[in-house]
Amino acid sequence: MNQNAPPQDPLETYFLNLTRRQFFGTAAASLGAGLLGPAALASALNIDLDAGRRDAAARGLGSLGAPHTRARARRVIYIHLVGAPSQLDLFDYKPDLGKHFNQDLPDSIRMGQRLSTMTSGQSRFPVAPSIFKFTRCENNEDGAWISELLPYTQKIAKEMCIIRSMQTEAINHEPGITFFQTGTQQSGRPSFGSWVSYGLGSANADLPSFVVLLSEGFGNTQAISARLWSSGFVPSEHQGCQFRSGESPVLFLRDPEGLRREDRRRMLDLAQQLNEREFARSLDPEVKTRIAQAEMAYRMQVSVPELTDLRNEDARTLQMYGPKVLEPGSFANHCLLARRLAERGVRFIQLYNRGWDQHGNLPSELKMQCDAADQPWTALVLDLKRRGMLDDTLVIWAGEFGRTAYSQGDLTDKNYGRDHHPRCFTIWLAGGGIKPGISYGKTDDYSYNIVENPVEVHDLHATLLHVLGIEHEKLIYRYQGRDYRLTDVFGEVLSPLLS
Amino acid sequence: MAWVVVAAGPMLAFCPSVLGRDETGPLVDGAPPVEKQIFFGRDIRPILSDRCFICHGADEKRRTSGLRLDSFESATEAREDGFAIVPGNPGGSLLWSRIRSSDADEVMPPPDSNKRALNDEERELIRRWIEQGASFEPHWAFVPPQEPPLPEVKKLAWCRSAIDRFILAPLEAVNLAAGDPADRETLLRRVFLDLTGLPPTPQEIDAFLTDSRPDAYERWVGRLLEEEPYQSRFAERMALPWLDQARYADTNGIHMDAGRQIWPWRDWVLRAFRDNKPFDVFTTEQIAGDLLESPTLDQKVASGFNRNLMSCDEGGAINEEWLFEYAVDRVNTTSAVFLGLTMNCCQCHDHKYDPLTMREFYSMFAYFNSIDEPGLYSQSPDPYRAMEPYIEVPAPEVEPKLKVVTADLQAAEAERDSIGAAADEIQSWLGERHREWGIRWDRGKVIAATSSGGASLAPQEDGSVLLSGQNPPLDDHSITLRTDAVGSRLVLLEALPDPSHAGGRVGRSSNGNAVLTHFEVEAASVRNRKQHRPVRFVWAFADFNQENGEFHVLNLLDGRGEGWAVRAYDDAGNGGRTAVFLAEEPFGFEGGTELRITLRYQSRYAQHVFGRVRLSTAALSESAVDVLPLALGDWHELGPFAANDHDQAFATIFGPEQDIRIDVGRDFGHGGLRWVRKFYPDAEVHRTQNAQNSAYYVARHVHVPTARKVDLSIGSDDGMKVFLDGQEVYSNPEFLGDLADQKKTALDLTAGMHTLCLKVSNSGGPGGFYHRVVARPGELYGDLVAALLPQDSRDGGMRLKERFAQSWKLAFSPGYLRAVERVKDLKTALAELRSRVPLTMVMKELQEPRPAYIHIRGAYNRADTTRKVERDVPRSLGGLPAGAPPDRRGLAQWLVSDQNPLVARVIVNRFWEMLFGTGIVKTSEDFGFQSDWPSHRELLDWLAVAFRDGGYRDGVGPWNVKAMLREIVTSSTYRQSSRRRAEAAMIDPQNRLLAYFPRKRLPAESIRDQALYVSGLLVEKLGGPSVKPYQPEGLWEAVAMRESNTRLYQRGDGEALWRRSLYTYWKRACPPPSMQTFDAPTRETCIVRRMTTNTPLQVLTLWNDVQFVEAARVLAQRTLGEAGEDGARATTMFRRVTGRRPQGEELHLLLGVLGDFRDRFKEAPQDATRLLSQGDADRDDSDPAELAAWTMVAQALLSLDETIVKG
Repeated sequence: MNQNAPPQDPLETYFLNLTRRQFFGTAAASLGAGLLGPAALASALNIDLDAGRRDAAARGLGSLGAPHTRARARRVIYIHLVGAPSQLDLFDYKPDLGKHFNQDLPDSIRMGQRLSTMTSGQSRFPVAPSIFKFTRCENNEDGAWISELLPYTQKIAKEMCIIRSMQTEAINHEPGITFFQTGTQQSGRPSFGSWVSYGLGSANADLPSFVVLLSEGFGNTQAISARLWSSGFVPSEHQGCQFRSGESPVLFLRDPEGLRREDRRRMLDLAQQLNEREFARSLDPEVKTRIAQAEMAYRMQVSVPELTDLRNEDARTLQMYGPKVLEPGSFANHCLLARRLAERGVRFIQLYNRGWDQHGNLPSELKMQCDAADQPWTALVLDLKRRGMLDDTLVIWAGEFGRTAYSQGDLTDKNYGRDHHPRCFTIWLAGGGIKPGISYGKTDDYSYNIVENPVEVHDLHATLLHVLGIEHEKLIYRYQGRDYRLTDVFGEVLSPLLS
Repeated sequence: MAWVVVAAGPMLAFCPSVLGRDETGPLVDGAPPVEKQIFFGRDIRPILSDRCFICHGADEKRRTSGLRLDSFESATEAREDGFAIVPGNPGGSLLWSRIRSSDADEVMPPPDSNKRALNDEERELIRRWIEQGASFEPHWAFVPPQEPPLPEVKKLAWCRSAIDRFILAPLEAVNLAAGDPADRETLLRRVFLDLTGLPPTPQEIDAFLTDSRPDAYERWVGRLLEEEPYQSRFAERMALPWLDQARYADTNGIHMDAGRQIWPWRDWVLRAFRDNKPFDVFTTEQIAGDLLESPTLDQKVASGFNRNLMSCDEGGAINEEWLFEYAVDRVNTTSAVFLGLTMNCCQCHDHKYDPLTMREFYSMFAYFNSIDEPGLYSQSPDPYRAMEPYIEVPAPEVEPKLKVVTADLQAAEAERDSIGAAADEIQSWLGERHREWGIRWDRGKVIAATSSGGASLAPQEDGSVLLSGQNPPLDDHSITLRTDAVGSRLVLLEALPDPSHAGGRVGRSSNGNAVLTHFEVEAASVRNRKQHRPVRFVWAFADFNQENGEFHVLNLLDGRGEGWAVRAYDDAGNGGRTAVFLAEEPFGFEGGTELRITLRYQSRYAQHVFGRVRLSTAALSESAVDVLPLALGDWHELGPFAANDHDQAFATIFGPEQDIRIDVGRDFGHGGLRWVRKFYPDAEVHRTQNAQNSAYYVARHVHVPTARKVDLSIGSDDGMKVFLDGQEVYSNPEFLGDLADQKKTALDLTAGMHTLCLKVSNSGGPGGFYHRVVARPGELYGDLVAALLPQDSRDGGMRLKERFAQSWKLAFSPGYLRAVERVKDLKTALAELRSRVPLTMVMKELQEPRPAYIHIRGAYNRADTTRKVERDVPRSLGGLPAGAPPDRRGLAQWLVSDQNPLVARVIVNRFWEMLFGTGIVKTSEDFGFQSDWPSHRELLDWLAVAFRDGGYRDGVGPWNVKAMLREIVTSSTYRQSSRRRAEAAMIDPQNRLLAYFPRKRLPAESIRDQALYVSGLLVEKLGGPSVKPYQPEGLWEAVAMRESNTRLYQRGDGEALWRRSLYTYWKRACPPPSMQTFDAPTRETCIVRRMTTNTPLQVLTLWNDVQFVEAARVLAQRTLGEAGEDGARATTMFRRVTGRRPQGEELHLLLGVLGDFRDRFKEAPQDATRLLSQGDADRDDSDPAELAAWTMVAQALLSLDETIVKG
């Protein structure tokens, strides 16, 4: 909109505003009502405000109105491996480490860096090479080494952008996950998903824009909490909506037993007629919003069960995701749900898979974790691909930090454990806007320090927002007198990762 | 946008910043300038602060080109290139030319700064400000408030309070009339909800409607504030926002998210509001209650305000880091709550906008960094624990009893300790026993000693072997002993301390500790070298087993686990260690024996070897072997395994009961459950973490020297089964409490190792178990077994001598036994009394304050020790009152002093926000430079002065909360209708001028409370422990760690389901879901202002949360219980829920739908029955179809917009 050329028609002004801004509840009042609230104008001009609102939602408009730049991805599926999987045993291949078995980690490598108190008291730091075999998998460069623990993942090396030089500031789980998911170690900030939902809005008027799925693993389980998908200070409609296994995937979705759908409709009709009268009395546009939200709730009662009902998936698809795909709450089940959510326009799908914290008995525990998760996440990528959705879906695979090259506790030729390691670790990305089949960044011979192309969490966030068409410095929310961003005051887009 | 400006023209002239700006930027682009007086604070500073101060403000680090634009002096001083500002002369001011420049290198703010460019209106404002003299008046909020004169108004008759004149004057200035008064029903419901959080009943409404006295409304306001039950409800309503601000919750919030007890603080807040504690006292006691002179219990409880923060128990976290975080949180919370400032910005740098520095932040920090608290807490199984420091808060009737029992206990302990150790008697008993048992200790002679890893082993005079030289990470020591003894049964291993080891302890590792993983002995005949055989051990005793891992000496009997460790790493670990092993059969050859003993150290703990050991052997008669006690391994626990009900939990075989050995690596499924070692001393009751309808296992290995029958004394909550080596030997499904010695069972044991497994099933409430092996006559139970040892080793480390003497006295001195039992009984009585005494977390200062420094970039580990700071308050906010003590008392005195410009304003603004939805300052959490300009600045000052000083009405004292609220809710402003007036909305869309009363959705808690109340379900009781009402299953489990004591939600029963929502148990990692849906914060950090959203998930909650379905059903029951036909009943139901009579077609609509549902459920009565089965509340015997039909009408009413909105 040319700011110097005032439009002639107030109605036109109003609708232009509508498309630029988001209208939900009081957020609308504070966002859009600077000069003349749309609600006031609407009531003065007798306009159905909700038409605009629904329109905006249907077109997927968030606070940004339209993306800043060309959006290469339209939605995100983010798989967080809670507990931090070992880069040394999965992706960061160190064939020469075997020579240093049970030798002390050289001081030249450790460089006096901070350790967690779980091993800082350890009298020595014996190097524990991975006992797993790695295979060179063809990608779009000179191949990617991937562990035998991930036989399925090996098949999608051509789709993966493997970042081996990820680093973080946090050394313990709570601050580590919080940092990775909200951009700071302190709690209280909006999560990544909330930022995206806030910025881009929803593309489906019948489903929440940010959905969270939690699944259990086998290994040491770390805590997670609602703060990770909290909207912090951005309006709470952007908080992650947790889908659960079982009959009511969204809290309170199911009507009480004994009620039929037409009963709910009849009750709702009564309520809506009374609500319309309340609007006529009060002229408060919030009443209209509530009327619309009740209708959406009614529609969600159908759209969500339809979404979680896997009966119409064909056998081949189910087979792809592995034997547990029909088990509610399993990771395989969630990976398939993630695709279905993505298909229906949910903007941000967050999966948490727990049990990746292998302080001891790493070889056996990590194997169990991988056996259950490798096939499903691979299937997700392949499934998106064959449906043509991978082009505009961003898949993120990451833990909150890495694990140490030295053993925590007992080191034998068959067994070892690894402590937390923030200095380097591996994550991978796939899909829309990301260069497929490449590796980025290098670590030293011990996978202890980064020697090439370190990636900070803020840089990663900036890059991910970029492929969504968002300039990270412009996705801003003002709170307590300050402009806040996902990337705080940092972050640079990493162009080598972009396709 | 010109059209809009024309319409809004007169408005802008009056108050542009209130109406013409918003947080995302002005939309008045291209507006023609409107002549008006410029106010620096209102018009100019927001622009400078937003676009310029980041580089030209108070933060020295970020300041560029040395220019400061935040004071007149610095902005007008001469610079190399001229003057930034020449007052009165925009043309001569660089500021003016730079903001207008079209050159990208020149223009300010620079295009690459991410700051929005100034628009024409902003530029014009700055030009005119310079023209008018560029005055820099101080920020209004940082100047102490003065009582302003009352503005002139035309319609004086409308004004009931000074408040109304401040509201009316601006309305009149834009030619808006004040709104019509609300109708009486609406007004009564509004004030009921605002002051009590609950709506009026039809009876209360009728009483008001028929009361024609002119002050009928004022009388009701008075009752709501001063009379029961209203004033307790008032307290519950007022406490709600305070709990958000104080980040009150029932769990620690981090990692384990363990339960904590601090609800007595919440109850203190409730009493404070109910009893109208003056706000200055309210403040002082919460900030510094513990430091007041001879503080009362109540004042100490109040100090819990700053203990409500999250606390950490994550293994691997760093103590200092969290101590730092706690102090930082207290600064942030205290400043946000009382000052309305964002001091948190200054943790890392000087404030970008406000005159607050890093030094000032750490000066505030210094008030809070010297609390006698740990940085990291360890989780205990008790979810009702208070995190230290804490105090007990006994009810008045318990206190004297506590005193008496405590005194009795002290006396009994003194009496017990006065019964001396009869040394002679013990000595002669020992002598007799050793003769009877045939014990004669033989040290033999060390003839060889070697190390596999290259250490030097040197035999010593006293028969020991001393290590020196190399100390490899892992090592095996072989010692050969020559002895002539035959028929030996015992081998004694003495680890001796030596000055050549770290700390003079028993181990050679850097911390002095040792872990022995294998103890292997072979006996060889000297006479015939071919004759040799291994010696197998079947029983062992050690004077000490390290408690914090798999370290029990019994691990050495079968090479299982991690070996024997002795905790020699801390100060309690001085002295020697002793272990004695019983051989399966006698050993030793006639003609001499070579004992080849191998001590292997193969643990994960490098260099953890004993540095000096001595080995001896002794014979032992069969009769003595028979009086050896069972050797009991450490307990391991496993669970809980969830079931649908108790019977199923009790009956189901989950796996552990069938095992003949404890395998700590085995995964029992159910989310990866594995055995966890636990230190559970015998003869004590232990709480297990099995929640409702679940099973729990504890198991241990037991080594038995001879075949025997043994009695177990057990207790369990609830059912118990006992398994021996995979076979069930006892089963009792009774619901019992976890008390000592409830039941007995006998075990038939063969010699050797056994696995004993107890299965505890729990139906609800806490679970637990008790276990004790009943000693047989003459058995060497407890430390009496040390009688086997030679004198000097019994006198070695770990207080074995005293422990042995105690055991001996228990066995042979009846007076001592009686004294011990009395102590035990009194301790039990005390514990029982204490368990009924609530605990609460409080502030407690360290003796010596910790020094405080500025921390570079706000990092906990980067204290700049060259920049020490003293306790102080920010300069720009007045100073500490004269004579203020240098601790939190002084801080509190400053907060409530006349010189503090913020506290009174911040608090009255929050009252205003509570009642009108939006504060006079909209950003109620921020009164700094970036705050929203007040809609009615003089009104805010009038309210602040009135609140602080009192006296605005007869008899109103300072800081009187109820009087302040009464003043506001009895104003004409508050009594306006909430109908949105088109003419007002056109020019004031946000209704900041209050031309009508703003409608607002109720807070989450009120929505649920109201549903409970109108149905008659609400159980009203002020205060008490938090309760657990309905919650969908599995929510906690999905986020919790396996070991967390708040992993499983144990729903309450009866009353617990229907208390007001502020009593609902608040787990930070998973707050009550329906509260969250309605915008409650997580309570992790201080939240001053809640949002209000409007989402479909809220609608689903109102429809389907069992709490609301049940409320609808009970409301229907209540309605059917009333007299009259459908119309009258429907009217009453409608009035209960909405506070008004149905109008026009409304009743007709209601009855129509009622009739439809009646037909529907008559056709399918089974559907009615299913619908009515929701919730625990009793169902009456009304016709199911009839009740179901009314339930559906009630559901519609409870989900109405007007029901969940205050109109």
